[in-house]
Amino acid sequence: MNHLFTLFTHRFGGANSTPREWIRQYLEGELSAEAAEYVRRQLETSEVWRGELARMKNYLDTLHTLPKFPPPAQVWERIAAGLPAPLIQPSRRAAAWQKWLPRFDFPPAWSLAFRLVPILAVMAATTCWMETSFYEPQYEVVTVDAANGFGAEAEIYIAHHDLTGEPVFMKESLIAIYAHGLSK
Amino acid sequence: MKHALSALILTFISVGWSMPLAGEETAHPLDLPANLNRSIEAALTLPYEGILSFRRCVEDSDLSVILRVCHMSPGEKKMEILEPETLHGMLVVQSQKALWMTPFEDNNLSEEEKKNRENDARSLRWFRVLRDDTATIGLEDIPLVVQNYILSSTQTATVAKRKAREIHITPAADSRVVNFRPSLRIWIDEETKLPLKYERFDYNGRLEERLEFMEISTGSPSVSCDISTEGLQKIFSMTDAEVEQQELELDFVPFKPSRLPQGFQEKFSSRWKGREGITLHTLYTDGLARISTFQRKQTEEEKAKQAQEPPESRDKVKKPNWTRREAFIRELNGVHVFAVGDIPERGILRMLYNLEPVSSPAEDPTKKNPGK
Repeated sequence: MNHLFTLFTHRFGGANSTPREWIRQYLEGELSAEAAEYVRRQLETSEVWRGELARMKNYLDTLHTLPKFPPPAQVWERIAAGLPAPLIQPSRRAAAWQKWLPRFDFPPAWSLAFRLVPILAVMAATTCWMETSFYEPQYEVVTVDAANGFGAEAEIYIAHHDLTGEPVFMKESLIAIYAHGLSK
Repeated sequence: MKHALSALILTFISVGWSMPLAGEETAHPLDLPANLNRSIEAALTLPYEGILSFRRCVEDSDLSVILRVCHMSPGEKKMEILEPETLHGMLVVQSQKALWMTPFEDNNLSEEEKKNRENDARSLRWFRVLRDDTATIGLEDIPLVVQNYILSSTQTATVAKRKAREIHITPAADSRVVNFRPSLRIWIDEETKLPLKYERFDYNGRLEERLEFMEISTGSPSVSCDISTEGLQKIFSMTDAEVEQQELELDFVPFKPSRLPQGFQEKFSSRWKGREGITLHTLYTDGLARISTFQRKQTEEEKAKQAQEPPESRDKVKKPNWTRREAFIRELNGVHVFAVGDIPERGILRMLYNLEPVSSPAEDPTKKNPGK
């Protein structure tokens, strides 16, 4: 998921998506197999990436040759002690549900889309569930013709159905003409 | 603040998503269910006389009839057929809890005239007089109509030279075909509340029936007609039918569907003795759409025929190919079940494939409505 996100952010112009950042992570073995493959392909085809690789290798080699000093004791506590009080308070972290709310005030387009996708997916899934929750089997029907000798009776049943509005057979209906006055 | 803004926008999107459904239920300043209720009562109690036109669009052809109707009081009505020509002058009278009509047989007619008359009478079987319902809605159905349909009224129109309010009864929005339902438009007289016209549409929105007054006068002073049964033939007695029903005992174990289409309830059951045996008719409704099942004992001939069918199709639902209606047959455990309805076939098939025998006499559907 992480590397897909990285690929996605690179494609859509995210802040850390320069070749330099990719190559740094590539050289330090921080990329997933797919992302590393992506970088390898870029290096095969792009002069810019190869130039960046050379610069980055040079930079890291230089970096590794520098002498290493252990940090002074309690360095972080001492830095914190020197800062104004409000700055050292823990920052207010947004709740998990707030992180997933799409922000419409100043959103990068990809961020908005990325956050809307799961919400729309849930809505679509709900709609599908409502449709399929009423799922019924395909009922089989065999077609029969008048040769089964049921035509006249069926016709009278249909007429009864059309005319019945009250619980008494044939009340106030000219079906009586049909049922009693005519031969069936 | 930013999160609050986001939450607000999301809420707006969610509300917008559900808005089309909620919008349908916007309250109307008119109390339409009450209007409908008064209309049905007026059709039952108000004296009226007029010319009535009825048209039914059946499959490829239209059937129509024009009658002079006179309604004096509940249970007393007289109709004179004006068209079709072959039935001109025939009287149909409802009186004394019975239906009377001019004798159908007429020896003065030629064979061809008799045949034409029979054909026209056959088409008349769809005609139904306005009675204590308005276009197949009974008073007792109004709560179901309100529950399952949307009532709306935006305009008035002139019907039979009278100002009438147009009420639309349409099914609640549902994109699933299985839940498509018929709809109805009724024009109710502003002054008397008498229904002057209705149009019924099938679940595909196709016009099925139209009934309308071409002329009408209402109220006791202007309505007087001689409702006499002299010279007429009694063709149906409601009293006899009620007695007959009480005496009939079913000679089979009936079935009941364990699943009904959305919004449907059982309305009533009745039984009669026909040529093929005692038939049990059960009507289900959602207020406007209806489904009927007709059950009877299988005849020996039908049993023999079923035994010859391939085993895999014996218990399956059959569809008669001679009708375009949603009509189906199922033969199960020695019972012949016929079902027909005003809704898409899936809902009816669901019923027929979920039949369960009524196990005890207490569950006999006709016992729920004694005397009906």
